[in-house]
Amino acid sequence: MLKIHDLHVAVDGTEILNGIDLDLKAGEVHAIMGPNGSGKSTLANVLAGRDGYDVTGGGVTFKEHDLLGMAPEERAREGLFLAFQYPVEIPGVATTTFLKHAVNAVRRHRGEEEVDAMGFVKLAREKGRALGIDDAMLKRPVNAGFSGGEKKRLETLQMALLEPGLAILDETDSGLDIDALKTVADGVNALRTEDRAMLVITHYQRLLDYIVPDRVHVLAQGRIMRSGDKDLPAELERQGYADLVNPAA
Amino acid sequence: MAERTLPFLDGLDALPDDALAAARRAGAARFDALGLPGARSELFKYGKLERLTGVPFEAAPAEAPAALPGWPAPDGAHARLVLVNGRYRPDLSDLAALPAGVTVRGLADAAEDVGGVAPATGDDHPFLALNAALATDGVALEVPAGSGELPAVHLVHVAAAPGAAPIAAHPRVLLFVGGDSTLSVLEHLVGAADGPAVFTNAVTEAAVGGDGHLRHHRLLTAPQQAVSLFQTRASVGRDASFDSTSLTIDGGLTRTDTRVGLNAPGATARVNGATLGRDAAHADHVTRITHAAPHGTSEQTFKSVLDGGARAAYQGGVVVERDAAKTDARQRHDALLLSGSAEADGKPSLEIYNDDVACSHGNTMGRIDRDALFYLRARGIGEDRARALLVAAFADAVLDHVAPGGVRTLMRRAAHRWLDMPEDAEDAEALDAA
Ligand SMILES: Nc1ncnc2c1ncn2[C@@H]1O[C@H](COP(=O)(O)OP(=O)(O)OP(=O)(O)O)[C@@H](O)[C@H]1O
Ligand SMILES: [Mg+2]
Repeated sequence: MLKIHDLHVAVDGTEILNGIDLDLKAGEVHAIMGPNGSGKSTLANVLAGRDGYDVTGGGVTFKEHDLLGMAPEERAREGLFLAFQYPVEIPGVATTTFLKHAVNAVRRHRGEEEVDAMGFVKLAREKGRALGIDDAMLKRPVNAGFSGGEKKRLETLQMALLEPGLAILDETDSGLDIDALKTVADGVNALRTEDRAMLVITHYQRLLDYIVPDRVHVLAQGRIMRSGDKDLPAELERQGYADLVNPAA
Repeated sequence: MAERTLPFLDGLDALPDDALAAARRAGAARFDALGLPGARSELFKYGKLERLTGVPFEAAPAEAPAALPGWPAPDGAHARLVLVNGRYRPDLSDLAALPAGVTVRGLADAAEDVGGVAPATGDDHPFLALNAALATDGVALEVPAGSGELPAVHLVHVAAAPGAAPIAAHPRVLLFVGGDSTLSVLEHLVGAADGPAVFTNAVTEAAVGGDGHLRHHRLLTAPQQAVSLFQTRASVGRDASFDSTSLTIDGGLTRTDTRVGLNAPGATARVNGATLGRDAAHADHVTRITHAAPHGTSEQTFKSVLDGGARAAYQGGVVVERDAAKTDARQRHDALLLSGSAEADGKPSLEIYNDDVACSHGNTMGRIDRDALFYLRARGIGEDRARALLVAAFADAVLDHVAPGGVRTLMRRAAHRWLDMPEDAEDAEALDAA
């Protein structure tokens, strides 16, 4: 599904990622953990196509296509979804309007029929309710004035509506209360199927208790320092990242 | 006789010596004395009047073009008043939706108070004087007190030359709204895309009685060769309101100049506008709101969205007179520049002669937010559509002030058509109501 090969990325001349390798297959969930500033969001943003990042080496394929050559909207239509660590506030654009445009853009791309305004409102309300998003929130401008947790729920709703083949969740658990964490994890697990894959970036083992990963990678200093199975987070929880960040000479 | 500033004033000398002709000649004299605003004129600092002086406009002939350009109509019950090159056309109008007490008169043959037109009174604005000199027709709409809320009035200004020569038209519109009545009017300028240039120099005079409400809208969609000047002079009574929203879409040189007198306690004015311009379009919105009585409020919200080499200016004015204690006056203009060569100017201004007031103003200039653009694209929305959504959000803030209904939907449709996403206007209204 997603193959990252020796990926090097710089921002303003400073190398942030220096040689990432990752092979994520359909049906798998991989987690990425690692200290603040280690490059997790940089990786997520580069995969989604945000500008401002220079790929200085290596490459990425998504469903066998060269991912880095695609525009952000093409990636999304092909089924790549990034749940933002910091969702963007867009004053003036009603959430429903935004969601409808997104869903129809993806549907058009898949050759499916577009949904009309009324049909869409029904769909969004129904899926929203399962995530604790009420009708009033859907009428408000995208993320504008939303609480941290509300923004994360809205990211999850977008994922539920777009049904992506590859979901990258960048700290979707941070800012969520205990019940919301469970709700959001249920939403994610509902999408977990044989033909989908997920990359879950998190600082906390708690999320991975709900969304049990197949592989866990530790990103530090722009590199994957260690990979393991679902038991790795518990070990990290006990020992911290110190050994990985400053490996004994 | 001294040489005229503009050639089309010459015909006035030949008129018979009656009171009307005298009043018209007085207008011409005022115009000549004021002169065409030059480059140093503060008021016309941003306007490109060579688009007016550089074209040999002739007075609009009586006959209309064989085929008139079409126009979209608002949904729902409404009355239609049509002026073709400034001439009222009862045959194209439809007043059936208006209740019995409301009167509509063509000005050309109206006797009495507004007979044949002439005084466009008030300030000494040159184009007001020019309209006084040259207006020969137009329409007066009078709503008696206690009429309640009326169906909308779609007042269409068709600007289309019948021949090959560029023409000038000087329509006059009079709106009288009695107390306890609410009237919504859309003045809608439509032109012929390929015809010769038309210079429209319109003057709308409005009076709103105590507890009356006039919702005045303008949708100006002239072609690029047009010069369209729309003066508004409104006087607002006790606890009455004048709401005005002007939307200028492309066009050549377009100006609205809206002056409102809040002449009795508790009067309110909301004067809003938006410009959507590309290519060589140039649109100015000029305002002057005079608070002459206590407890008045005024709000001004203007937005400019400019692409290509388009230019827009907002010159806002608020005057708070000595007696106007407890005035609340706000002005703001925000511009969104979509190209490197588009230009916007915003110049809110305040003249205050009373200390007990709350006044604010703001002016910003910005570009599309890159993070917002990426967020939309990351959800599959194409770049052009994503930009259009962000622009619509910016401009819609002005239309959101308009009361929901056929007029607002029509204006939104026009804006969204400019953004190349026509279906979205319907959605916005539907989702809003859902
Ligand atoms: N646009 C930018 N300009 C300058 N530095 C940047 C930029 N984007 C990222 N960086 C730097 O790159 C490094 C990696 O940042 P990134 O956001 O990827 O970290 P992270 O692993 O997601 O951290 P966190 O766990 O705190 O979210 C940081 O040192 C950050 O300051
Ligand atoms: Mg991060």
